[in-house]
Amino acid sequence: MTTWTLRPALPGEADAPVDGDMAAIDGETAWTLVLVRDDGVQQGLVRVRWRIGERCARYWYHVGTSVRVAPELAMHQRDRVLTLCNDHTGAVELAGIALRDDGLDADTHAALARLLVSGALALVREHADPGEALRVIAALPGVRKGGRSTFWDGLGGRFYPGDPDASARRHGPLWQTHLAALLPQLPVVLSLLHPDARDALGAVPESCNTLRAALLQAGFRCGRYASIDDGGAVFETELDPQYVPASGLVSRRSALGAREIVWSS
Amino acid sequence: MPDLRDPCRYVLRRCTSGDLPALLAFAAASPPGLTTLPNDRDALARRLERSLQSFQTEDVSGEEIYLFALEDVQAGRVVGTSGIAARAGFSDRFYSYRNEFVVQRSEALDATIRVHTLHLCHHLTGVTLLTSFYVHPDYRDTVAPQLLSRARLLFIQQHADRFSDRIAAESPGLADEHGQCPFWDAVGRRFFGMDYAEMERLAGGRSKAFIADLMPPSPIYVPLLPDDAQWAIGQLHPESELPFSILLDEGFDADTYVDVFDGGPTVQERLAMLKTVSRSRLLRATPGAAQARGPHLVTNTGLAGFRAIVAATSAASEPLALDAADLARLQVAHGATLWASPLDLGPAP
Repeated sequence: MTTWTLRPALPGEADAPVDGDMAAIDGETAWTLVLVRDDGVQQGLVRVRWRIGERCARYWYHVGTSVRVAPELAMHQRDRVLTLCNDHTGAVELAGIALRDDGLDADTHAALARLLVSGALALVREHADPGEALRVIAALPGVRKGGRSTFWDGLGGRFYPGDPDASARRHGPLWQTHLAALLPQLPVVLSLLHPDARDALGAVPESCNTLRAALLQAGFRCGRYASIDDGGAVFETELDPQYVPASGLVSRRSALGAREIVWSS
Repeated sequence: MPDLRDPCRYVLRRCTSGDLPALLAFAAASPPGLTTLPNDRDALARRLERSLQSFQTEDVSGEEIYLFALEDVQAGRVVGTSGIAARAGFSDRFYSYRNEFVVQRSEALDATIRVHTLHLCHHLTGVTLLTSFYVHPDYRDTVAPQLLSRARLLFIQQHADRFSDRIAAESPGLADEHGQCPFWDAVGRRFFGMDYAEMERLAGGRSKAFIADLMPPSPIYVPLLPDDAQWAIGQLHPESELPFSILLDEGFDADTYVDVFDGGPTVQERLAMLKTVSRSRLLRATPGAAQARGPHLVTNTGLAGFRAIVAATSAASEPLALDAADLARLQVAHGATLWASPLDLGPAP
């Protein structure tokens, strides 16, 4: 039997992040949880950033709808519209969620994905004020073709000539804040983008399907927001104070005093 | 071989019902989207009738249109036409895209960008529009295009109560021989799913405002468009270079507005700022030959009887000396007051 434990990262562990992401913006509260197999191998990671965007503005694309009517022609036009927004300011973010496959069977992989999500939510609940309605978001990476984000090529890349991946590594979670200053400040009609960029909006890469399923199962929904660089789907939910952990999970206090969650297969 | 360069051959006058066959021929000879003349006998006849009423009426509403015919009096044929719409959009809105540039900077990324945007606007609603320009190809290198285009300005000036003090003109944008228009393909087609020519047919000669109602109100960020569409913004259809060059020479601003459908330039300027108008003088005519003569645009002060010619004279001082033949072409007698403006006839464009 193999056992996995989701626990706070030990000093040093967070310095070697799975996704190359930085832990937090200066002054923001954040935790890093690592998913560790009983032989010590780090299998996954999730960062919990608390009340994001209040110290440094964070940006997303809101995906809305615009309808216009020409009665003389008996025609109407319905478009999806991207609007730069700060809608999730004050929310909790599950960031940089990553789960290594390592040849796991599908059921185990799915269970570990659920463990990452539910464990992070358990941490959020633990730190939320009683009865507090907290929004929680989680962004998954956007789709790529040949290593390039077609959404970036169709939108952000038209406004910032630099390398987005290098800039993201350099600036961490602030990358999108810096990028937003260069992007269209007024709504962008999606139909004006290249078809490949349109198709990439909110799409989830195949490698993240398990995480997507775990998020949806945990009550997240998607389709209304996207990341401003690669168009990745942004999932959102309101914290449910009555949340019941998935079956098979055991929550306990670790020797370090922090909550840890264990799942065995 | 007739000398078509002889300015004495030409007279500009209002269109009459007898000009319908010539107008039909002009509309048929124009590639799609290159003229505002409808290539349809009934529609053209209705437009001609509206023009005739406009020249007659004293009760102006702004809906008037004025069509002019350029006659080669020696050949006895109409060789071109031009028009005026008193108020763009009239009771509806007249849509344009306004060119704007916004500079954005990210200190952290050490990047500054200058972004070109197109904003849907109604700024030109109510201004007077120059329309319907067409000159027979045989007459392109003569004074005919000058007379067709510029004489309208003097007509507007002397009947100012019928027009706006701001003048605009749309010029056809870039399109290939099949009517494929890169700007339309990148913008309009995304919202209508049809060819530009189909859209023109759908409009059926009506105001396109109701079509523009379907365009997104938010600005178009030009960097998002395909390269050929970006390049087409403000570019002319090659066939419209001649009339456009005359408008530029008049002093029209061509950088601010473009057409919402084909991206062609829409020029605009205050009437008083235009070269022909600012240099024009109202002078009493006398028979004879002026000293130090040069080509001038000369018009009478009529409404329905408006006529314009190019004559060799001098508007530097009164009276305005004109040959008897010039007075006859203008259908005025000795002592009539006429508008005259020097005409720069440089090398053919």
